[in-house]
Amino acid sequence: MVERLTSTSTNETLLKYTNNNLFKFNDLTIKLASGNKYNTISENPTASVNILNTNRQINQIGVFKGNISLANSSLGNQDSILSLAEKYAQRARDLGMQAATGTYDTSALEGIKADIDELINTIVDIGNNQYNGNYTFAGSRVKTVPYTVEKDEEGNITVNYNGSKATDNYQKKTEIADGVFETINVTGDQVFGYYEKVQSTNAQGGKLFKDASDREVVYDEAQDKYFYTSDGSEYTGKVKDLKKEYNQAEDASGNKQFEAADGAYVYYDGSNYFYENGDAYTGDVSELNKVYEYKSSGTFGAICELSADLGRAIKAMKSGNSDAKEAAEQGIRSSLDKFSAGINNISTVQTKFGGIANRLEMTNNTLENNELQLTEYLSGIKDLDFTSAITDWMNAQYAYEASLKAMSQSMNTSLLNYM
Amino acid sequence: MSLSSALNITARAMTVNQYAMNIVSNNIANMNTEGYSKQRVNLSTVTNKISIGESVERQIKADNGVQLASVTRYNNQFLKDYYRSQNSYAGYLNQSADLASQLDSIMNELSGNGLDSKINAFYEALNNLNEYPADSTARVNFIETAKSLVAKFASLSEELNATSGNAMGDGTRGSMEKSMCYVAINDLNAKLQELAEVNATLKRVQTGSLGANNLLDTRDKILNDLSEFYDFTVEENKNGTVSLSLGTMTLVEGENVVGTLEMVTAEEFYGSKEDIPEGADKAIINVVKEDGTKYKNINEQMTSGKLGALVQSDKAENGKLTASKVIEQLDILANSIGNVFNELQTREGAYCLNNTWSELEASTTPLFVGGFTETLEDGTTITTFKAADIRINSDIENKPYLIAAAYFDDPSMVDKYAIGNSDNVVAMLQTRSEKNNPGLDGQTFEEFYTALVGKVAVQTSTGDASAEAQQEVCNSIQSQITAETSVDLNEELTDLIKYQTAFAAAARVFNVCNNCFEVLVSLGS
Repeated sequence: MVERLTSTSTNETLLKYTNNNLFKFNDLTIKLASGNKYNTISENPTASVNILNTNRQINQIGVFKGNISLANSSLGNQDSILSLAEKYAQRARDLGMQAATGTYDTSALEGIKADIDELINTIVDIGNNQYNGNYTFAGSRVKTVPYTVEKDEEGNITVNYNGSKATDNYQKKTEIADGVFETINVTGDQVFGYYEKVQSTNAQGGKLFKDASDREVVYDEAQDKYFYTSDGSEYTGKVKDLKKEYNQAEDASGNKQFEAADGAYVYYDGSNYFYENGDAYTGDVSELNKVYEYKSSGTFGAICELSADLGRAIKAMKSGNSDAKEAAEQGIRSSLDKFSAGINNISTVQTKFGGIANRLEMTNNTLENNELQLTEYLSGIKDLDFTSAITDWMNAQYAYEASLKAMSQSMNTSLLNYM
Repeated sequence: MSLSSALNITARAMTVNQYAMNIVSNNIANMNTEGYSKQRVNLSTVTNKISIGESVERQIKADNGVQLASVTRYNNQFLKDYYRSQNSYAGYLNQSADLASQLDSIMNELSGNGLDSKINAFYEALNNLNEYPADSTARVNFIETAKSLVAKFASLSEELNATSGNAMGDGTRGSMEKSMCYVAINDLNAKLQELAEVNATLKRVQTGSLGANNLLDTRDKILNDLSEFYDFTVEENKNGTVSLSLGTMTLVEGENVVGTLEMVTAEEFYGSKEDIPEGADKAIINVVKEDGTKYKNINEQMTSGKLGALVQSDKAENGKLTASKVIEQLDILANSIGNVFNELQTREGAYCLNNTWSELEASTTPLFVGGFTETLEDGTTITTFKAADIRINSDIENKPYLIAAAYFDDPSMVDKYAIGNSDNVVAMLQTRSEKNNPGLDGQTFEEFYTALVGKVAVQTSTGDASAEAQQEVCNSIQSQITAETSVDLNEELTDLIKYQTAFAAAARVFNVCNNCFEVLVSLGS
């Protein structure tokens, strides 16, 4: 209990309380101006740590949502591209079925072959689709053109696949939730297949080439160098001048396979040339063309084989060789069978993508839900409740004004006024 | 008894009342002076020395009247001493809170521009790199965010380092002389001198006088100021002076300053850098005695007041987070991030691009450099990064293709054209939720940092709260002292009227006596 009260001490006390009111008022004003409940971490450590954690989660969700949207658009792009490819493959098959009826004349067949060759180019263009500057179907070789078309002297079309292979075990992963990665691409060999000549190899598996002067060169993969097979010296010329050596096709008993000018197959056992049925080949040996061994897969395998068999059928019809025509038509029918498998590959991938898209959609919903809740939570701990803050602020203002008034009035009263 | 005796009494009454009004006017004049205590005139009747047995007539004849007994000041010594000890504690807490709030403002992550946001941006860029591993934009973007991450590490470390030097200096003379503690010690020495001077004057003036009371107020104020620095022991001497001592070391004895504080760097104290023991303070405080001898190194005794807070500021006791401790924690984080990413960047199976951006090449260029590398006995090397020094390898900065985005766990499966392979980036992305990082006690990078921020925040917040509470204690003692000793205008005005009336009455009595004299003088004429 204070025994004595002096004007100085009352003034000091009044000043102290007025100051308190001013602090409160000022504090609320700053909060209102910034819109934040807390402006330094020490004001409320627990809330600050929560704000930091929540901010981070919201930020991560934003990144995941961005990834999903990117993945969705990439999937959408791939899906429409694949639908197109499927349509063209179906068309090639329809053309092949017409040709297989055997009712068309030479010029009609030539028209069909031209159509099919054009379709090959179209599907190759589709396979070479780029998205955001990267080749969609090249696997991890994103900057390598996945498909190149070659046409040899006999008009045989090959479609080479240069992207990374499905068997490489690499999958492009996109993070769609904390630690959850989703694969959203497919390699060209898996979806479109290929039709490539098998390159010759030596006993060690080294790929064989011929240089400009027809000397044999072998590629040593481990050293990434080329050597002459004859003397083992290194080939120092340009790599692009080298020509690939290809394997010639053989029948079951190891006889080399040729194609005669009329489209019939001729075999060579090392001494004699003979037809499939065993009759001796009596024509000019120099007119025989080598038949190469092919790696064939998927849609490209089916459509290129179809094109090659059509070519043979046309030759046989032109020369009137009915046996050869029969054999070629047999070939056409068997390549048509391969179409189902090729087209099936495409639709399988589409189905898979559909499944992924559904999953992405679900994840996206979850993320959006989380984001909403987190944002709400963050707003709860971070944002000022303006209604109550304004009320408090008004109250603080009244309190401050009242204390000012009380102070100014009471400080004026003393005995001095009455002397 | 004589008429002149009555005249004498009235004359004296007028003088005394006039003097009393003098005191009143001094009170009113000083009503707003800090530390001024109201003074009060004590009047007493004049009593002549009369022996027992003297005649009544003689007793009546003697001059009586009023006299000035003393001038006392309103004082409450107990409250003042109590105030000083509480003020020392408040000084300690205020200074500590002040230092802590510097950490708080450096680590203010709520601004949205802290280390946390840089880590966020870093991972965001990494995510983008995962989408476009072969594109230069994604790579450059990643390098830029990594650069701003290490820049933030460096700036945090630098600011914290500057803060840790604020209190006691960083060990060099120049920095020490700018430190808060050095300034405080100079201030303190000057106050010791003032105290000795007041003591000297007090010895000469008469106690109970107006002048002496004013000097006592001045001395109280000096002692109050001193209490903020340290909880000094104050002892009153017989001659009215006080002695001031720091523990057992006397600093002021009466009118003499017998000990001053001196601050030297650790290097100066121990002789050379090599001789500084582990964990020694960066600066040492000595007490220099009059004869030049010293009480050496009194840092241990500095436990209270502002000085205590400053000396203790860099001592990490009881889990206290000092600026140096926070830097240590940041170093651990920087080291962890640096090593984890370098390991991924240069591990076997990690591949970067070649200089034509077209083929993969085994990656050997570390992402972060600036660490201290030591070779162990078994030939393995350990690199330790510090927040202040970690930076992005300039090779990577100039050649973004050197970032190892691709990874093959089976080296025989390497496809050198697979530049779109981003398995290494995926592994880097996974570090964000990895809890098993070196030195982080089972926390992810971000969890570790958030926990650190949380600790700083809690420390500042509790420091602020206790400083505020202690300040409140001091304020309430202070207002009690003010209530008891300050000047009240009403009181003074009442006194003024009282003394004025007494003066006027005495003057009237004087007149009457005077008239009586005149009557007496005219009797014979």
